Amino acid sequence: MTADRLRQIHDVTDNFFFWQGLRWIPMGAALLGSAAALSPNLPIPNSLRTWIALPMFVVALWLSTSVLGRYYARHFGRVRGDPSRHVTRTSVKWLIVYPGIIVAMLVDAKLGPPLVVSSLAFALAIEAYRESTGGGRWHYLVAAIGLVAFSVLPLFGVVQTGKHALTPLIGIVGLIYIVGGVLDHRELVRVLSPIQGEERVASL
Amino acid sequence: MSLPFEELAELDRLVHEPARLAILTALAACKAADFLYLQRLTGLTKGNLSSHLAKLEDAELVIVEKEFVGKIPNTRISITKGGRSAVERHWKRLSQLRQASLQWAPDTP
Repeated sequence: MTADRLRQIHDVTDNFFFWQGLRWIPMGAALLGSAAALSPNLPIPNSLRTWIALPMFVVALWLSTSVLGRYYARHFGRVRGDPSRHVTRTSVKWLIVYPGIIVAMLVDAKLGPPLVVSSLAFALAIEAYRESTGGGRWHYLVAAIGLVAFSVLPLFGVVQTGKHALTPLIGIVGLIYIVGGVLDHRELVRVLSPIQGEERVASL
Repeated sequence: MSLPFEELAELDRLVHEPARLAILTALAACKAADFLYLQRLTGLTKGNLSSHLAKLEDAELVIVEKEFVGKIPNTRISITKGGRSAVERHWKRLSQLRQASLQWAPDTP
């Protein structure tokens, strides 16, 4: 039992919910679907666009909390987290990260700066998420670097700036949720190896 | 001053055993975890994990409670205040030993 393994055990237990990667896939699919629904390239009446996106998020939430929540409880067990250990993270998330993303999206939509500011905000948020939920999972760092790269694409004329950049950005974030979720799940299976040599127990 | 190797013998063996150290480390990071989670974490068989938990429970380092989640029985394990301070003390001791062993050099004639 190495110190690294013990550190990993501590971090994964402390952040068990966030390492249940499959839970993020429905939300990623909903974001991708929303990006498609909001895309001006699709011949959908504007009045219908929101009504297409909304049910996708409702279904995603149900799949994530109910169906996949049960899957993880049955196959990986249950951990009751201790919210008092994460007061700072919760405060930063609600007071800085989420408002920051909303402000960045408003700046992109209303002011049309030369960079995609929202993409930078998402990059920072993803790296903060990775660091504050147990570290490791380097795919999120790669995703954050990708988002930084996306933010400067308008400078080269590859992507339109302002509100036109928001729809593809939502799609990219959705894709990050999906790929990140699959890789998180793989990482969790590696940390919590399947039980060998006897029948699986959901309880004792 | 004692040698790092001599200090190793002073470690709490109940806590230092790898599976029990893993269990206590996990439980120190949450309010409670169930049997299945600890089994996947440690890779132990049901019998072995039960045996380790019984030792930790006897030493009043953990509390083992049976409950029902819906209609399914579930065993929930949480760490006691004493268990938390024991594992924190152990981690601190291990860290000190690591430092001491890095600085230690055998006497040369």
